[in-house]
Amino acid sequence: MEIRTEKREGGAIVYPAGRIDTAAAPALEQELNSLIATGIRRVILDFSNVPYISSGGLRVLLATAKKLRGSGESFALCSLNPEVTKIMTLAGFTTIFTIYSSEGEAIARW
Amino acid sequence: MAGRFAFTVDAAIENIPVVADGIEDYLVSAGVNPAIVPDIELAVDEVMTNIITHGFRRQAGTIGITCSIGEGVVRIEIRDRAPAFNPLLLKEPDISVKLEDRPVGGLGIYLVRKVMDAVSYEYRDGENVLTLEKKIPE
Repeated sequence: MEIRTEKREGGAIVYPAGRIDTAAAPALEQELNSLIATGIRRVILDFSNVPYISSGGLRVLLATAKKLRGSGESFALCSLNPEVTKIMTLAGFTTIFTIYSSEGEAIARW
Repeated sequence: MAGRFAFTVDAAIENIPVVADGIEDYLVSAGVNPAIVPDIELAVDEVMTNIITHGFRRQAGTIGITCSIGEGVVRIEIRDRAPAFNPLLLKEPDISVKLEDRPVGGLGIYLVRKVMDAVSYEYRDGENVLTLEKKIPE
C-alpha cells in the first residue's frame, strides 16, 4: 500500500492506495499518528483507491477517531467503494464515523 | 469451471498480501465474477491474522491454503498446526455501542462470517481446518 498526504491549512487529506489489510494497517496508523503528532487536528481519509479494509484497518480508524474528537478536531472518511461501505456497515462504523460520498463534499464541510 | 490452487506459507503478517494476490490471480484467471473477490480476500486476511497472532502467537509456523471452484462455489480451506482452537466459538462483538465504549478489536471473525456464505471448523489429523465458502453470483 502507498500513502500520499496533502497538507492543507489546519488539516490534512490522506490518500492510501491499495488494500488496508493487516499487513498495511501499521503504515497507515504511523502516518496518521505522525500527522497528529505535528499538531494536525483535522484529517480526511480518502478511500478512492482502497479496494477493501480488514479489521486491522478498522482498528486504526477507531484509534484515530478516539484521538480526534475534541472541539476543533475532526476525522472524516470519503469516497468509499461499495465493498468498503459494506464492511463499514457490517462493523457498525457508519453510525460512528463521519462519511462523505466525495472528497469535495468532505472539504466543503471542513 | 473447476480446478484448485494450493500453497503453503510461513505464518507471517507480511505473507497475507502475498496470499491475497495469489487467490485473486487464481480466481480472475478462472473467470470468477470479480465482485466476490474482495470479500474472499478480506476473509482470508482475517483468518490468517487470527492464526498468526492467536494460534501461533507470532511464533514460527506454517499456514496451508487450498482454493477450489466447483458447483457455483469458491471454497477455501485454511489449515494450521497451532493448538486446537475453533474461532467460530468466539463471542460476537456488540457493534451497537458508541465510539468511546468500542473495544479496539474483536471484529475479524465476525466479518468473516458476515461476508462468506458458509464457514466451518474442524480439528483433523492434528490440524485446525477452517473452510470458507462463497457462492459465485450468476
